[in-house]
Amino acid sequence: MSIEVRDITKKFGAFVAVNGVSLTVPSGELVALLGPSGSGKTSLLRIIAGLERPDAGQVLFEGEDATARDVRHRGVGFVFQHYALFRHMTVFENVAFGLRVRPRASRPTPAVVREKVMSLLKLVQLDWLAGRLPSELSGGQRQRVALARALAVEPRMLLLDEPFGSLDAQVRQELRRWLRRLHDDIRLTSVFVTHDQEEALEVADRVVVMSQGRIEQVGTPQEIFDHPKTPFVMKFMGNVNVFHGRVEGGKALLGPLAVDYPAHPQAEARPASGFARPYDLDLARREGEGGGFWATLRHVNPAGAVIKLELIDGYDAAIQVEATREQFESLHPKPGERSTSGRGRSGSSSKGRQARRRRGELDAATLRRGGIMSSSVVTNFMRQQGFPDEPPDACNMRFEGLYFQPRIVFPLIVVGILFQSATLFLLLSAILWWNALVPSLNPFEAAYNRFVAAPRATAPLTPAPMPRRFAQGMAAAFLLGAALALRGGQPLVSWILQGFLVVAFSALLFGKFCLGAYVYHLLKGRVAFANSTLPWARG
Amino acid sequence: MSRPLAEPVGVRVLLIVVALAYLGLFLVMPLLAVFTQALEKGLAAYAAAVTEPLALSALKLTLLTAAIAVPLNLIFGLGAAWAIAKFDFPGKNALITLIDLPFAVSPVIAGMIFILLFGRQGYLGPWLGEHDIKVVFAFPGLALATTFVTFPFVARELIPVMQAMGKEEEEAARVLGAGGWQTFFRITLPNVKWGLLYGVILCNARAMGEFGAVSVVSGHVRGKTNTLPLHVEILYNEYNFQAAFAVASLLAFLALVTLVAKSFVEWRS
Repeated sequence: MSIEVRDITKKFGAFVAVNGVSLTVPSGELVALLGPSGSGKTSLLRIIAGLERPDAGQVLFEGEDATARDVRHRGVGFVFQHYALFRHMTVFENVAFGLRVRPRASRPTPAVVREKVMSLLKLVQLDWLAGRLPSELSGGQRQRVALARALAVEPRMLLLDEPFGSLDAQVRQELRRWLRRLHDDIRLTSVFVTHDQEEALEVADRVVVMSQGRIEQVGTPQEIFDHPKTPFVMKFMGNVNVFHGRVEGGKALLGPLAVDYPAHPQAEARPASGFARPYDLDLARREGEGGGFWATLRHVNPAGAVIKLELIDGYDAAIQVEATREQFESLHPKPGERSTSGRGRSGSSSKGRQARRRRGELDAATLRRGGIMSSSVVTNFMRQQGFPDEPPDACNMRFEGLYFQPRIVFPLIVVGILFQSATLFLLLSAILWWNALVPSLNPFEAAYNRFVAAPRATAPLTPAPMPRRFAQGMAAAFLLGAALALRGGQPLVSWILQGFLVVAFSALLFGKFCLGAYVYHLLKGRVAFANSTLPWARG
Repeated sequence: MSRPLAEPVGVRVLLIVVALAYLGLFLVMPLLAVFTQALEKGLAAYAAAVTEPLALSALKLTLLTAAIAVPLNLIFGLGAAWAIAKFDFPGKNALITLIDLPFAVSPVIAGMIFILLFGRQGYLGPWLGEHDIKVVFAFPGLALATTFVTFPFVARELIPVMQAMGKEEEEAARVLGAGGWQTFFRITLPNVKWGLLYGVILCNARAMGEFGAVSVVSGHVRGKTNTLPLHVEILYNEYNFQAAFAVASLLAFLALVTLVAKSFVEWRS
C-alpha cells in the first residue's frame, strides 16, 4: 500500500519536531528515514502509524485520507526500538496477541492461531523458542519476535523504529541482510528509521535524509551518496573535510585550497565551503601542477583495508585522508612529517544558495617538496592540548584531600553533638514525666547508681574505673584496627585514627549519658509523679 | 575469604547490631508487650474479651469499613495512577499534590473536615437533616473518613510502577488492534498487578487501623459506630487493660497477617 504524507507539522511545546514534511512512499518499497537524533524521523514514523496526531497536515494511504483514523484500524505493523514485547507473555502469546484481540466475528480459531503463529515463528527462525519469555531471549531474537508479532496481523505496511539500534555490530549486520531478504520475499511497503547512514544505504530502496524536522534530500542510496544536495547531507553521509572560504571571479579560495570554479565568474566575492571526502584527497611528497597545499602528518591509523591519516594544514585545521596500502607504502610518511597535501576530486559549494557539488572539477593539486620536521611537533601538540609530561598513570594516583576537610567535618560534629544532646534531653524529660515503666528498666536510675554515685561513694583512692576502661577500650580498638589493617591491606595509620575516633566518640556518648543520669537524679525529687495521668505511674 | 568491595567486618557487625537493636526496641518489644498483656489473665479471659458482643460488632464494623474503603480506593487509585503515569495534561502536578493531601494533613483534621461538611452545623448539614440522611456519627461517616485517609496508598504505589513500565507495550497492543479495555486488562494490569496488590494491602492495613479521623466522626456509639481501634481506646479508658490489650492483639494480628502478605507479594514481584 502506498503511503503519502502532506505538509505534516508536529510540535512538542515550543520544539518543532516535524516541520511541513511531504513524502510519498510507493507501494512495496523499503524506505529509510535517516537523520541525527532530534531530526523528527521517529515523530514522522509515529504520525504515519497513528501513534501521534499531527498538528497540521494529512496522512494518506492509497490516496485515501487516514489522518483521523485510529491506530487500531490503520493496518500498520510497528516494530518498536526497544521491541516493546509483552514481558509477561511467552513468545508464542506475544505473536498471537494481535489475532486474539480481534473482534469476535473475525477472530480465528485457536487451531488457526496456532498454525499462523508457528509459521511466522518459522519465518523468523525462532519456532524452537515459542515457549520462552522475552527476558530469556537475546537482543536479536527479541527483535525478530517483535517483527513476527507485527506481521501476524497481516499489516498493509511495516514501520520500524530504529530496528537495529540496540544490537551489537555483528548481529546488526546479519539482521540487516535478513530484513532486506525478507522484504524482497514479502514485498510489504516498509519504512524504517535509522541514524546509521551505512545501514540506510545498505538496506533501503530509497533514503530520506532529515534534519531539524525537514527533509534534506530524497533519493536512491547511490544518489544520496554521490550527489548530496546540501552540505548537511554531505556531512551526514560520512567523514568529510570542510574548507571554508569564498568564490570570486571563477576561482574558489578555500583556506589552503585554490581551485577553479567557473560557475561563479562574477568578481563579487561570495562565502563558500568546499567538501572533500577522505578518499577524494591524494597524498604526494612533491609539488604538482598547483591547487594542492602543505600539511603536517599528525597521526596514522594503519588498521584496516585503507590507511587513515590525520593531517594538519597551515591553518591548524585537522584533515582526514584515506590512502590505499600501496600509496601509503610508496610515500612512507611518519607522524610529524611535513610532507603531504591534498589534491583531487573534492567539491565546493556556495553557501546561501543551493549548494552545488562538482565532482572532478577541482584540478590536481600537488605538493611542492618533501621536508621533514622533528618529532617534537607531536610532543608540542600534546603540551598544547594539556597533556601532562608524566606518563598518564601517574596522574591518577594523586590523592585529593576530599575526605577530611575541617571546614565541613567540624560543623558536622557540632551539629551532631547538639542533635544528640537534644534527643537525650527529650528522653530525659519523657522518663521524668512518665516516671519510667519499671524502675529497674529506667536507664538513668541504673546509670546514676553505677557510674555517678558509686565511684564517689567507694574507695576514692583507687583509680576510678572510667579512665581504666577508657584505656582498655582504646587498646582494644587499636588491636582491632591493627588486625583489620593487616588483613585488609589498609594503611595502618588510618585504622589507628579510626580506632581513636570510635573510642573518643563512645567516651563522649558515655560521658553525656552519665551527665544525663546526674541531671535526672537532681530533678527526680522535684517532679510530682502523683499527678501523672498514667495508671502505672501512680502505683 | 576476603571480599574486596565489602565493608570491614567490624563495621558490618556494628551496623547489623545497631539495626537489630533498634528493631527490637521499637517493634518487637511493643508487639510482645501487647500479647503478654492480652494473655495476662489466661486464655479464657482473652476469649471472653474477644467474643464479647461489643467487640464482635466493632470487628464487624471495621471489616465492613475496610470492605468499602479498599475497593473504592482501588478503583480511584488505579484511575488516578493511570492518568498520571500515561498522559500529560494540564493540572497533572496539582492532581499529584491532591493525592498526597491525606498524607499531609493530620487524620484528626481529616475527620474535622467531614464534621464541617456533614455535621449538623456543617455546610451540608441542614439539607441532610431535611432528607433524614445521617453521615456524621453514623456508618457513612466512618466509611467516608476511612476512604479519605487511605486514598493515597494505591495511587502512590502504582504511579512509579506504571511510569517505569512506560507506554511502549500499550502502544504496541494498540497497533496490534487491541481496544482500550483489552489493552488495560491484558497488558497494563498484568504488568502492575504486584504493585497493585501491595498498595491494596497497605491500604487495607491503614483502613483497619485508622484511629484519628474515625474517632472524630464516629461519635463512639457502642455497638454502632465503634471500630476496633476505638473499642480498644474505650476499654483502656475504663481501666479494663486486659480486655483492651486482647482486642488490640486482634488488630496486631491483622497487622501481622498484612505484613506476611506484603512480604509474600514483595517476594513474588
